[in-house]
Amino acid sequence: MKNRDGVVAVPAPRQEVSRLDIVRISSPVRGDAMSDPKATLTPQSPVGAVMVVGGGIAGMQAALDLADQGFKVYLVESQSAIGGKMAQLDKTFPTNDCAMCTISPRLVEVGRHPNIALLTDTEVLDVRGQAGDFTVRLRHHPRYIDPAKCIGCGDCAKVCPVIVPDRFNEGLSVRRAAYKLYPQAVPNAYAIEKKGIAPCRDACPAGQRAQGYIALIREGRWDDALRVIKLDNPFPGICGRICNHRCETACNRGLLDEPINIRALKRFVTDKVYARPRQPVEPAPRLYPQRVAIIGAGPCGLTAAQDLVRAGYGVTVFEAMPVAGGMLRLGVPEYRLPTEIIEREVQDIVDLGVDLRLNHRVDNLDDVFAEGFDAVLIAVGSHEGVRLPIPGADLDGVLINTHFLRDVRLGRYGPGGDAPPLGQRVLVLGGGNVAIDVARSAVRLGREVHLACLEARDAMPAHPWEVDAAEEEGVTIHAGRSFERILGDERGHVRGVECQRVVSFHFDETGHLHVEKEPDSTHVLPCDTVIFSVGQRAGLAFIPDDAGVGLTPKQTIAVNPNTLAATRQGVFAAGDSVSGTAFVIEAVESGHIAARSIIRYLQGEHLEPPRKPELPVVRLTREELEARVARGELHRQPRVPLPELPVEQRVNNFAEVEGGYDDESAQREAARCLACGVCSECMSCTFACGVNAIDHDMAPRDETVHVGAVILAPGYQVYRAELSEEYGLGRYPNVITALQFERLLSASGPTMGHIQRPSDGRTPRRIAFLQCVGSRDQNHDYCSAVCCMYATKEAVMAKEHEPDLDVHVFMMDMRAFSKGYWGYFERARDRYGVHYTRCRISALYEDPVTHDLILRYQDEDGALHQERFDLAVLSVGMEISPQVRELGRRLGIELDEYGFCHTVLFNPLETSRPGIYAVGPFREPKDIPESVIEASGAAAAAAARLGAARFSLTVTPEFPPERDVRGEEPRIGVFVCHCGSNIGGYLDVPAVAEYARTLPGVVHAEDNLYTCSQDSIKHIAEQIVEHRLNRVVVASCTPLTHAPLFQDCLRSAGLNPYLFEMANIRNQCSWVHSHDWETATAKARDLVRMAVARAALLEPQHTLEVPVKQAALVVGGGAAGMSAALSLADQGFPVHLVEREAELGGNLRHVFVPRNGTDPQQVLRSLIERVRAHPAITLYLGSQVVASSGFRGNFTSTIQSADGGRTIIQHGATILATGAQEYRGPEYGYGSDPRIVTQQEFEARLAAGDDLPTSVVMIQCVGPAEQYCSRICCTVALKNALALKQRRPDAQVVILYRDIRTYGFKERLYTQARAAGVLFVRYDDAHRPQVTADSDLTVRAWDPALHRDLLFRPDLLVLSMPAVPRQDAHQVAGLFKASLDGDGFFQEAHVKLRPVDFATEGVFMAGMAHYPKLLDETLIQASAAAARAARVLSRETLTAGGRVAVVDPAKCTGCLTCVRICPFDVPRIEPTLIGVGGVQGAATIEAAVCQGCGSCAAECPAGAIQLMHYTDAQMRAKVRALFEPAGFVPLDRIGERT
Amino acid sequence: MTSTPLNIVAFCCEHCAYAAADLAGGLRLQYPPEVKIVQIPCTGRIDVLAVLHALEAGADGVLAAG
Repeated sequence: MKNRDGVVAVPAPRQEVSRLDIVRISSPVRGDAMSDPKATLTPQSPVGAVMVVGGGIAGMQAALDLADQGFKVYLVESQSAIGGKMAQLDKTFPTNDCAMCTISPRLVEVGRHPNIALLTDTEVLDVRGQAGDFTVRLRHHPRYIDPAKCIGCGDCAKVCPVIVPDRFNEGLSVRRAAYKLYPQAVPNAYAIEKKGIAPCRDACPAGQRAQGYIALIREGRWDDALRVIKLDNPFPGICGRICNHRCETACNRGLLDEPINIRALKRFVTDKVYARPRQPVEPAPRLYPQRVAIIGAGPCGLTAAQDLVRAGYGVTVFEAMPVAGGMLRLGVPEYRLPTEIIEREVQDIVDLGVDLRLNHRVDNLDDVFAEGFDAVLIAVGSHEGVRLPIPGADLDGVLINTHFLRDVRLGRYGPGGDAPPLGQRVLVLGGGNVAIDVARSAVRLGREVHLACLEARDAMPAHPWEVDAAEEEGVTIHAGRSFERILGDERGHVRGVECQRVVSFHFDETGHLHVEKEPDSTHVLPCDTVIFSVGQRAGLAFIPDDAGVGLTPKQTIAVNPNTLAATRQGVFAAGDSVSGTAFVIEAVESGHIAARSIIRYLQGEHLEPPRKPELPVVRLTREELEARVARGELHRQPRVPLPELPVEQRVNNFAEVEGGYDDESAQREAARCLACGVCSECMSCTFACGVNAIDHDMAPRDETVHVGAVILAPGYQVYRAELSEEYGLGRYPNVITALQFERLLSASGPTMGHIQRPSDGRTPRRIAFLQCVGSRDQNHDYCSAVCCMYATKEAVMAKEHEPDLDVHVFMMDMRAFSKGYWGYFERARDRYGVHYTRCRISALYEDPVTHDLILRYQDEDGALHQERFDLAVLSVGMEISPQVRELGRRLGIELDEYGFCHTVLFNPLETSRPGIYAVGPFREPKDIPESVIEASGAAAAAAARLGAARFSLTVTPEFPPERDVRGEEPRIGVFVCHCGSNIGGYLDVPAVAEYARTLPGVVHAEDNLYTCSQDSIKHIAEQIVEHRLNRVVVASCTPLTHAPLFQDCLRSAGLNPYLFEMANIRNQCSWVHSHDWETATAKARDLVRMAVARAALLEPQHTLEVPVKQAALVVGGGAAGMSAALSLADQGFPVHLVEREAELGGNLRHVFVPRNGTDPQQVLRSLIERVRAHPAITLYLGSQVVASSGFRGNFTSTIQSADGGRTIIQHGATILATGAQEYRGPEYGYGSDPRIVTQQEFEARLAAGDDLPTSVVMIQCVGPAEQYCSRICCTVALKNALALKQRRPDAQVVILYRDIRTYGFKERLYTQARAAGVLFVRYDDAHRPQVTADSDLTVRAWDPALHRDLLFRPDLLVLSMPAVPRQDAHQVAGLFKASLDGDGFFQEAHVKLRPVDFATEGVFMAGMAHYPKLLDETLIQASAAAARAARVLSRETLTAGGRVAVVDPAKCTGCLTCVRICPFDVPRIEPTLIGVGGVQGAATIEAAVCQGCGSCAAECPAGAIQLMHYTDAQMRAKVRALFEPAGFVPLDRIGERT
Repeated sequence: MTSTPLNIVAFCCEHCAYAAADLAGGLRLQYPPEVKIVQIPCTGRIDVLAVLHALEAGADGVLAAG
């Protein structure tokens, strides 16, 4: 025994502790390593960092526990914000706390922790190395918004036109592609969801963001839509009419019904905008001296001109013709493309500052360079029509397409012009689009028009709709003809074309045509005019042979296809003169490429463009689309038809044939878009963002970090219940999941907390909850552990919202197994009237008219029912997502078939790979507190491995020394924020700033666009120095998220952070009075005035460092106490372990039968061995703590041994693990007959192995367990029943139960027991089993299914006695200022988030004294308590003070009011202090533990207590200023009691 | 002249009611501008005198929320 009776133990100083053998301190690992902690070695100097994967509540807890005790933490989260599933919940059971209110402060804490690196949108690629020294490769996925710059104003989301289902709201509402996961998200930054490139954009040569402008059209934002088009294409009006729209061919919607009519929508936008007077175009500023010459003012040349002039270069465009526009203006007929459109779009480019020289033919390239141009772009198009070399091609009456179209277009044949050189019967030779243009133009000149082409009718190169239109207008098509020769009449004028019929044709590799003709098919197509339309080429005569510009054999300019650079330096060529005849959109893209190359050339950069990260093209499959239709997300809907000019109105003029959409039909058509890429890169957000945080070019980035340990807290996914088709999720609108219902209940959810059924928005009257969907079924052999309680909670909350609701829960068992759960269930049933029916529903049916749901079920009495409900909620179970399974695979850890990570009892949190830990539902389905406990436990395990590296990688923020402002008059600076338009759009921010300037004490006031942006923060710091400010008021948003940021700003400028006050004019003015500018402005003035009044009275507050006694006291030597002691000792802290009995072990001494294969007694032996051997553990057996005083970090306790000797120890933290005991009450005749035993006694007999009974009846829920669930009894009973069946397979075992509560994987025991023949009979409170013990032991039980009593005569009656608190629990609690719950168990500080803390700081709990629990749960909770204690012990000092209550002893009467009122038991009467009237004894409040609530200050009848930073004077000044708008009272009178 | 005829001083605990008011803003829930919120560390801090002072200074009502 190491008990040092009578000796005052002095805890080892920190240096000594860390000198302890580090290898020994390393944590035990799997298997029997518990007895040999050196089994795996942690490196001598491990890495002092830990990676936590998963930013849910468990991951956050682990991160905070580790970061607070000196480890650098990388918190990796795959989503754009942390918070996990808990953030989606409305309330939490059993306290009905608001989930968001509970989690939100913790989110902020994680987000601001200097030693937690928050890595959102990040995934783990792999982990190499070993425990203590891992190398982790991470991939950061782009969020397209820099979270360091984003201030969360939401301007991007406001302008984002893309609507997608909001997954945070479980698809019940929509959000934008630019989004924040939820309002309180941390980091408080937006993200952009981008799946890839929409196929429409991918198919477009110019990369037009069709999805973007379509979405903007749907929103009715015509100008923005046009801006999007113009980002990539200066000719929207032109392309909206004549583009060949490959986008539509690629459109995913085409797989479902019809592609979006993208071209028509584009035209619609230009029509809308162009209908208004043209806005003047601002010339682009000239930035560079260089000048570029562009030859040719077609679409290609003008596009390049636009790009170059916008980039700041001088641009001159030479055009041989009298008009600009190239082939658009000269080749495309007016009826397809009105001149005014071309002129407008050309003018938009010219007005940017382009020097356009019409009628200026370039005759020689050298002349251009001689004029001083630095680069030349040749973009002359291909205007030279081709005359086939056949006989008669030069006859009179033979025309060329380009010349004909040009002459028509230039109005040469219009009214007052020449007569067209056409006969009466025109034959066009050629089958392309230009040939059709020629033919249709000739029709409009009143001629009979024929068209002959080589191709078959359905293989013509012209677009089919063009051919159809031509035919409608009367063009006769002669398809499949060869042109042998043109026949002339005697005057040398055309009279016909001799043709043969074509069987097939092809071009060989040299471009020669080979035609197979039908024999004897020669015939003549009579005509008097022939127009060749068989191709065009560029006119390149101005390039002399010696110009250094090479040509291709096809007579196009030779260029590098990537850069469009010609063979001569400084010469580039683009458009049709390079590619041959192509479409306008290709000319545009070619122009862009040429401009980019020319810019690089002029900048002296390498010409090849840098590689851009490529996004995948989002191609949907027909199946995916059909599935969306089936789910009701999408409806079949063909194109909205487009009006067209009737044929009779169009054949005799050049009026535009095609009409456009009106607003309504355009928006309807636009709404059909599937938004394939999600973000369309319409750039609306980029234009809107005021802090320049958006970067659409972000690419995935890999990073490598070094850590000593990894904690996996990846969480769960809810079962995808659409897979259980019998419930109709997805098909029946009024079937929803419980998580969806959670969002419906949430005040910030899609319905703002109103319960509405999806089909019609009506408030339901009857709701059915269906339990065990995706749990306890053929595909899931486990229980999800939380569904019974969350369904009960949701039922209760539904009744709270709508008291008249009729709520039914259909379930198998009510698994209310944990603390407070049974009482919660009873309240739901008895007080709220929730109906519970024990029946598993096998299918749901929908009334297709009302969308009501019909349930058929059998009640417990066997009666069949059919009932109708308005809404059905599926209580979906927990699963592990494919992504998490993949993570497990990458990390090389073992997972089970469901993806869960199993661990061993000896080391319940470590995965199969040492140094990698698993917590939360990833191990087994579980609820929040247990996940939190595991997170802390894993933190302790990691800390034990890495203890030597504490504080090796952490940082402490450094600030300049504080300026002493005492004695200075207030010099207040007020900064009023516009928050983009969030405030500025709803109230007069400059006026508020102006007003602030007039307030007393204010020496500086200004308004800022974004006060919290990095620039503004720096600016405020400068203003503090410049104006010698000594108080700062920021009028912007909420202090809950932003005060720390501004306070750091004050510190950086040398001011105490308490000299700061905020006025929340966003959340309390602009957002809530958004329809009343005047009122919102006036209230903002009021709030600023109030803030200034308080600010004037603010005082600096200083914190002090209180030394920490770096040792722990652990009370209780059972499994919990020993584990906690070992965990702390392994982390390097001296531990005093006190056990009241003479031997260690506690309740574990009575557990013999293994549940998961591990012998509990082996666990016990190894724990005892390690405790006894551990040099850092001082053991006090047969001893008790008899006195304890002090506060967190600094306790003094007295330990008394059995012989009365006393040891006084000092310690910084206390862990209470005093255990519980098996109930031994008289129920069911216990104690009256040796055949009636407890489960513990039965287990001892099983362990002994002799005298095993042949028939056993077990009764569950005995005595106190009728009031609360003892949690372990079902599992223990099943375990023991199976042990008996294993040893005596003939033994008959009957279990009489109320509910079988085998939560999680313990469900498998239940399944095994049933398979092994254990008989289960349910009883309820009205029919308890009756036991009689005379010569026969008989147990009588009512069988509800059989409607009769069953009679058993077992050898042995085993009573599952609950665990009850020890008799001295009250005494222990009193000694340590700990509190107990109604059942006598320890009361945690917060049921969900502080499950091992007492409200009393520095005191923690573990084991059965907290609540009955199984061995693995106990071991984990013990580690968790150790982690929480280590958070205190790892620091040499704790910071105290700031916002704390301070007693003025001279006013204190020692009345004890503060002592009684304090919820944290902090104030005490200090006898050495002198109170009122010189009487000894006055209250004192320890700053180190004061929570700063101010209750004592409010209650103190003598006014002797002030809460610092919230003094009476400060609060009163703030309130009074509200009523003194003229500028409140003079400063020297503020705070006076009046 | 005060900007509005009525003034209700709402003492809101920063742990709950103040955060709820923030959320009300986030959800753009409109409420009467007469309500002026004063942040406090805990409703326990509210002194009877603080309430009386507010009424004395001119408040038409005092709301303690937490």
